Amino acid sequence: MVSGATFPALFALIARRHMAQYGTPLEALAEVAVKNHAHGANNPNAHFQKTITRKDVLEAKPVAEPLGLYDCAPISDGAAAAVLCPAEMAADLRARPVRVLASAQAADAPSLVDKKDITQFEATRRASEAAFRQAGLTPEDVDFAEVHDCFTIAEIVALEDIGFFLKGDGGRATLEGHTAMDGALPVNPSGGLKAKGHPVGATGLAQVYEAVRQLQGDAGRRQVPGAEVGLCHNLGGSGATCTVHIFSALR
Amino acid sequence: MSLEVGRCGGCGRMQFGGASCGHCGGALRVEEISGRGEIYSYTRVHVAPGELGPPYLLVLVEFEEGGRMMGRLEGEGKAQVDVGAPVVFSKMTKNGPLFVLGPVSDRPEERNRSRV
Repeated sequence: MVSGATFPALFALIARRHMAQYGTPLEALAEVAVKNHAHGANNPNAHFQKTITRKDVLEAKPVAEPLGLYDCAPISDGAAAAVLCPAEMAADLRARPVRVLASAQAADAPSLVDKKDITQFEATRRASEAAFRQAGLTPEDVDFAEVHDCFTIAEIVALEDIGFFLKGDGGRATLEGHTAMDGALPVNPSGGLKAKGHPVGATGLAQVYEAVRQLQGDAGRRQVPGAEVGLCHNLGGSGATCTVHIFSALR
Repeated sequence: MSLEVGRCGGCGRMQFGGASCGHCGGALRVEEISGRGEIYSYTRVHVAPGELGPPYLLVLVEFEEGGRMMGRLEGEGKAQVDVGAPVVFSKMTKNGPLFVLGPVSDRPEERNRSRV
């Protein structure tokens, strides 16, 4: 039994390895937090609705180096629900129903000791592949994504494992703004776990709520213009299990 | 310090502790490994519950013989803590394995055995 392997410490080990293996700079991790706080400022339901700067993140109190306070999602209170029904009934029940195109889950070794490469979550990779297969879509078809950014590095790893960017490129893509609201693929327009909040048991359904609002065109100031396909990615453990859902507006 | 590990007769995976292979259920045979390896990743932990008293260094070590182990690193200052830095298993504690930086002496009188 190893004492002292806290959750932030496990993701810090992943972050340090990602930095060593791919040259991911600290600024890229920081930018995930800056972006998600900026997104959260547009979300009236977010836990944190204030913007932060890269300096705030880089100079914050360390938690488990290289992760500091702003690299870590809070634990929040919250609840979410979804109503499911057969597609043929949906149009009669709701003006703008949303279709579930894919629902996939995969598992992997829970311990970092047993993962082949700790910078890659096999559960995310497999669940994403299965989801894209079910939906008959590719990552290029996705208009926005809600991903499990429990720590800043987790968003970078997810971007790569889902297939939005090549392995090792998640940090650079973030720094270049591709995942911001005005980028090619807005990631966590809700603010993500980092700013919207992480009510652990409700986090997955809260992502679904966000996807539904986006696809109904009803997301207010956080609306991704013209969003037609959305993806939700949720994790359990340090990548021990992963679920991926893909939704589209029902036409 | 060398240490004893279990090697699965079925799939060849290395494992620390346990009666049978956690991957395939095969029988384990005891094997002695050098305890030498390198830092696969590390973190200095500043916030933690329990008795450890942060800050402390948590390391993920990859052994020369393959296989990884998580533990804490003590006695830093002698060399740079970094990914790829050589470390050696020092001892088992009730809070898990301890490692120290630097290659271990190969002189037999300095070698000990420790069962994990």
